[in-house]
Amino acid sequence: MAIPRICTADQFTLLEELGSGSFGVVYRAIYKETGQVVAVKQIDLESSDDDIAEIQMEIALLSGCDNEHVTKYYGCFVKGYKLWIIMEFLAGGSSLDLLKPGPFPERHIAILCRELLEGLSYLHSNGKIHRDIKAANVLLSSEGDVKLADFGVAAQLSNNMSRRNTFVGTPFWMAPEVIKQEAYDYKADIWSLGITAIELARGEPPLSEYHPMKVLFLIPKAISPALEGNFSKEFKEFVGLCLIKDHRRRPSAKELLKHKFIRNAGKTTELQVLIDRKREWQARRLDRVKPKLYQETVATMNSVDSLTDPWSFTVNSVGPVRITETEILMEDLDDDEDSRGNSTIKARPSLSDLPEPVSELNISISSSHDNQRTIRASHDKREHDQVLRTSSMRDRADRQRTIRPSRYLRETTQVTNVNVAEIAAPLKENSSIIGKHVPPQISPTTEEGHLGRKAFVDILSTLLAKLEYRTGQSVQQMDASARLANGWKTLDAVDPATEFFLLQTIVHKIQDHEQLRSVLLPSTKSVDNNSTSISPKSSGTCSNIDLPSIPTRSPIEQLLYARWLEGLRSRWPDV
Amino acid sequence: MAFLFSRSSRQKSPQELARSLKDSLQRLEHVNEKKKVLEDISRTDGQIKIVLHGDGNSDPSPDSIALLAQEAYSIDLLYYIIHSLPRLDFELRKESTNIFTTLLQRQIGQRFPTVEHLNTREKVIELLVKGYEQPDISLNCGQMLRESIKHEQLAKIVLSSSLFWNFFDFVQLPAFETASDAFSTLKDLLTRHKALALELLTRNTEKFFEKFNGLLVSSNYVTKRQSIKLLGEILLDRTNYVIMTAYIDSPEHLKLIMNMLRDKSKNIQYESFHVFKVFVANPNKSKPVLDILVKNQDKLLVFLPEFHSDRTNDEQFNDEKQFLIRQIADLKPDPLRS
Repeated sequence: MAIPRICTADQFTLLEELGSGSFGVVYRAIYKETGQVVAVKQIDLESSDDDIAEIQMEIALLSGCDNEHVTKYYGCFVKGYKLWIIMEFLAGGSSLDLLKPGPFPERHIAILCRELLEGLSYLHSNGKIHRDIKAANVLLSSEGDVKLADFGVAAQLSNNMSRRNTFVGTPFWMAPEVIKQEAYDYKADIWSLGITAIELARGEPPLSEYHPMKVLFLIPKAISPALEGNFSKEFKEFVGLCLIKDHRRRPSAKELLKHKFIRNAGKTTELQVLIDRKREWQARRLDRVKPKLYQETVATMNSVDSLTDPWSFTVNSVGPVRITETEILMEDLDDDEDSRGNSTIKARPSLSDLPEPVSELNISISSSHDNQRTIRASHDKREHDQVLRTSSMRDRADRQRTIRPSRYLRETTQVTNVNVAEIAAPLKENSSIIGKHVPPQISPTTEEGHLGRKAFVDILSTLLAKLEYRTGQSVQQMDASARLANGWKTLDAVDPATEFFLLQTIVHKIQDHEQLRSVLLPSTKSVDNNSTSISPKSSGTCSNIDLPSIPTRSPIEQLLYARWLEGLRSRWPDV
Repeated sequence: MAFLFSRSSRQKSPQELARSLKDSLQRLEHVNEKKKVLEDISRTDGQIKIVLHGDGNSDPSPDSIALLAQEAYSIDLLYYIIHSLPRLDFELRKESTNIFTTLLQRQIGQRFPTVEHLNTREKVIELLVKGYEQPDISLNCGQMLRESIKHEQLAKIVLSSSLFWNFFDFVQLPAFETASDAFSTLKDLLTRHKALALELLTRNTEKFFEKFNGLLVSSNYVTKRQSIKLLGEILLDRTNYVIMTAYIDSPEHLKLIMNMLRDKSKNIQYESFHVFKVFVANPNKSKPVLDILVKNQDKLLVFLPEFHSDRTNDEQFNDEKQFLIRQIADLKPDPLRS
């Protein structure tokens, strides 16, 4: 018998914890009436600053799916501060768990990819984007059925809007167009699938040796990762198709289902091997983890109890004394008719928004303060999350952490309130994010020092910046450039005299070197040809070189960019 | 099986598609063997979808859409689409919803022909509202209803009839998804078309707040939290100035809000503050309201400085809190009126 859509907490017995994350905690549970095992996801609404409407979105999305490749949703209800979402329990666990004993063989990956493509094809034809495809979100039943899970950041495209530009997902798996906040569509899931395929084959997604925040800068700039190693040509080609950087050229789920790698894939029952393998691996390990059992949390919300006795309402009132100023009020109303449009803009009306008679008070507050409230509150929440997590789990969990939409949505809608100039300063520092911290610049004292600093300001700083913004390189190449740039900046900051000496020596050595001189300094005139970018006044004349100019952003873009950098930093401190 | 029918059945005209869909939907009510009829509906839906959205390779033709829509209006197809929802399966309900909302968005210049049609068919909107009573179709109906009430004429059908009051029950339904969907609709009804909402509030001020207070004391945390927030939005909207002054004259409302300031949930406390502040800021407090505030003056002066004192970064909140503390400190029983 199926679980009814309308259910209550006492119909379920909660067993051990299956996992937890920023969204809440998932338990294995039993539906008492039939003994059916289910998964219960509990979201603490009180500690979440997100609008309940966003969680509602996730539910609406889940309940709009009925497909064998998507985790089944049974129903949900509120108990105390917690929302319980009842879902299908998948005994095989997530593919991330199954990866613990080691990477998957290619034949199994082919099956998984086919099943995932089936699921994606269903979602996409229903106008939904998952936006967080990764091994951790792919669950297996004990029979080997593969299902998509966690719709925490998924999006529904409506008829009017076929594209999104919200910044969500988990960095390692995020498509370049999502990171760049361009308009993107279903194809973003295909990229993530390609990354997941590599994850399954190698145990980790590409670039996993880097910090998640750094990866955000690497993915859009670097050439696409490729599957390397002892794998079939078909598999490598399949991954290559998923990871085509231009999403317009990237194939759809339906198209990929016709790919040879997928067509030749075997039955899902074969995947049971992976589940058995994990079980054996677990049994061999001595440090078996004890399951965490569900404990009902006692509400410890004694927040503002500075008062011991409640309010006293025993007033001898003789009924409400109504002030009859209806006529005046009607006039007020007429005035308001004209300004009706304005009143909808602010998120929360302050006292100063009240019409004259009430607001004879002197509070002049701009609505941007409210802005800060919501944003800072989300910071607090994250810190809270981190405290809850045990330190050994922390790194891994952080890397898996999904970026959720709320903050960014809010920012895009409220961004007009913020002073652009305030944001511009931090952005400058952020633009060299790839490197480590550069020490504060000293003022040169010697002649050499002044010359070194001059060389840096006029020539090298621009050159180094361009070096960093070059596209189409491998990650290793980009990393090398970034290190050089950073090293040089550090040198300039602390020791411009040595910087000058270094430059001087290089120039001298080149002049003394016959072959290099003929190439690098053939004549004074043609110097411009090869090294225009080094020219101090390179404005306008340097269009013929390979290095593209630093991408310019609109003020709004800059602002958003700075904002999410800030948000990401608080999530993953010390890059 | 898309490839099967495209070969076996000849291309139907848009009008024929509309008639054929209505036909199947009606048949569904009488037959025992539904499977065959559901297959027919699925096939017709698929063809209608191509008329409305194109087939991926070619864009839809406005002429065909017009023919389909005209026929749909004249045979009352939209009514049958909603009426038959409970008898359809999961995927077909979504198809029906899609056809409905696509037709609804149809626009010719400044005109929305489907909206005009529905405006004469109040029964359809009524069916959509009643959809919340059936868990299986509540979300489909909610989606179509919210899309409908974006248009003032259609919102008016709900706001000016007894249909509106049903929402106070819907938002308290045990199924979270239905209740919260109904809440978004309620919120849209009360905030989207301000003049319409004001009309309702003015005509039924007492009834409205009686019902609304019921939500504020709900045992369901989500209902409570969402409704206190909505109350703040309604009261602080300039359009609703008259409503606000009526609201803050009542000592019963003040008591309720003061109790909510001490709710266990921090979020609810905080939202209550934004309603409480209006009572205190009102320069023309009614005597019973003033009496309560005076009577609790000392307690409030202990309570407020500690209230959410960890919100150090929320400048607006802190400024307003300081203002309230000053106001309350200066409170004196009104000698003229007592």
